[in-house]
Amino acid sequence: MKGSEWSLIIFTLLIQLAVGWVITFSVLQIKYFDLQSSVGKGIVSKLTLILIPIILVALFSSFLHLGSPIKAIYVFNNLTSSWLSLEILLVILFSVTVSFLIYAFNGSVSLFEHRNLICLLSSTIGLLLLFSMSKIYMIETVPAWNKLSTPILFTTSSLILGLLFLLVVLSWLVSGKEVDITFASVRIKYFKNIIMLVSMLLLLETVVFVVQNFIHGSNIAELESRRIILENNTLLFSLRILLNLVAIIGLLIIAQSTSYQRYYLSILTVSFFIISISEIIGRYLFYEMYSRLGV
Amino acid sequence: MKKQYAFYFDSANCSGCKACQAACKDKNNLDIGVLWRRVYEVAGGEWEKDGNAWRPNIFAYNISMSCNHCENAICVKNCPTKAMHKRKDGLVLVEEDKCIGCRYCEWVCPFGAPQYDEKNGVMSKCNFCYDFLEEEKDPACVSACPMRVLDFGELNELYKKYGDKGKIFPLPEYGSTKPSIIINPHFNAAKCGSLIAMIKNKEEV
Repeated sequence: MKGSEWSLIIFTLLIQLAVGWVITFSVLQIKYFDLQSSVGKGIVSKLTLILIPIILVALFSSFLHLGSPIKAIYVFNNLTSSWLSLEILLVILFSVTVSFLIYAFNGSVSLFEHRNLICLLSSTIGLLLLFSMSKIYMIETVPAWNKLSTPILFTTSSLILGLLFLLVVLSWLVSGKEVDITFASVRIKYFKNIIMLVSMLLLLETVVFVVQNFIHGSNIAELESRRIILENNTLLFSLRILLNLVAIIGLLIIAQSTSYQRYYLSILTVSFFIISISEIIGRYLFYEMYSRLGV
Repeated sequence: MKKQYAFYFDSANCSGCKACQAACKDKNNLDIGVLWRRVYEVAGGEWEKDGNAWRPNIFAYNISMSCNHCENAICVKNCPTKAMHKRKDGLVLVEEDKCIGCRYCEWVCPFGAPQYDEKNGVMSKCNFCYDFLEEEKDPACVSACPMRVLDFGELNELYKKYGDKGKIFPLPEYGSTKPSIIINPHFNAAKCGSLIAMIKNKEEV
């Protein structure tokens, strides 16, 4: 695989994590976050700040993929027919709305009053961004990518990474704090539901990942893609499935409990790292399976 | 009527000498690893049972391919900067001043035409020697061919001259880009999408 595609792996995964994060944050902040106490506000504020390095690294990585990044001002020339052009515009719009979101929770009183609208806007643009990202890869001349599995896997990656990362960071932020008691009752009731959701998404992702390699057309490009994954990358293919299953088991252990245990935070954190490795492998295999119709 | 420049290629008589490939590389001063015109060596076949006998049905032929300056160019449609554009004479060209080197055209083109120029960080491809056309000269590949299997001209005129004989492997079955090329197939040419034909010189192209 070309070196430039590693920059795409980093970019796509980080942006998708950011989109999943924003969607999760938007849902949780409306009802579940303690925004009345100063400690609660401080925790939520820190939660939003973590988006800054994620998006900055993602944007930097996207430039590394280009041969002549200095001419990037021309990328909006073909919004009417190029999904890549549209995706770049949506990345910028997403970054701008996320900046407003961060500012809303970190000092701006006027923006804080409109936080729900900002969250809704960021989430909507994020979803459009996920859609445009999928369309970039759903190229008619690359059958392995031109399937429903592409948008499904992009969406599951986004939600799994975003949800879990937010939970992990939030849990570490509240651990030991005086809001711990307040969050504890919230945590037990909704935490388990979120963990179950992540487990189900992981299961869906694993099934789609496996099935996409076994249900295919008979054209030479698809056969080549299948050969690349199942014959040349057997170990990585198996490892991704194994890592997902281990993560699911870890998360289900937490979800099945009737009370919160301190070591659950460690299981959650380790599960997140396992899933991250699995997602990197999955994205690497996605680019590896590229095989084009024709010459 | 819209003008569309096109190539004609006679696969039945191509010797695979690669003079066209070399002439193109020389004329355009291409770097190592960049081939605007590529000569593919196609071969395949196996043994077939015929009663009590076994007979070989092996085949081999060459196909010289550059950019097909498609009527419905997928690279033009997907280029974010419109560096890849189609002129009124049908030629699909790259405007290097706008190209950001994202390589998306390389991903989408079913003919492998766009080639990444690592030195300059931009895409490059066959430009039909449009500068030669302006001087009423033939493209370098057409002039260089010792077997005279390459021709060029306005697509409709080429159809009248040679007829439409369909496409052969390794061109894709997928044809919505409407490649502007007419091929006289080798008598043993494999059909598009063939699973028994293979490109034997992948490392060269």
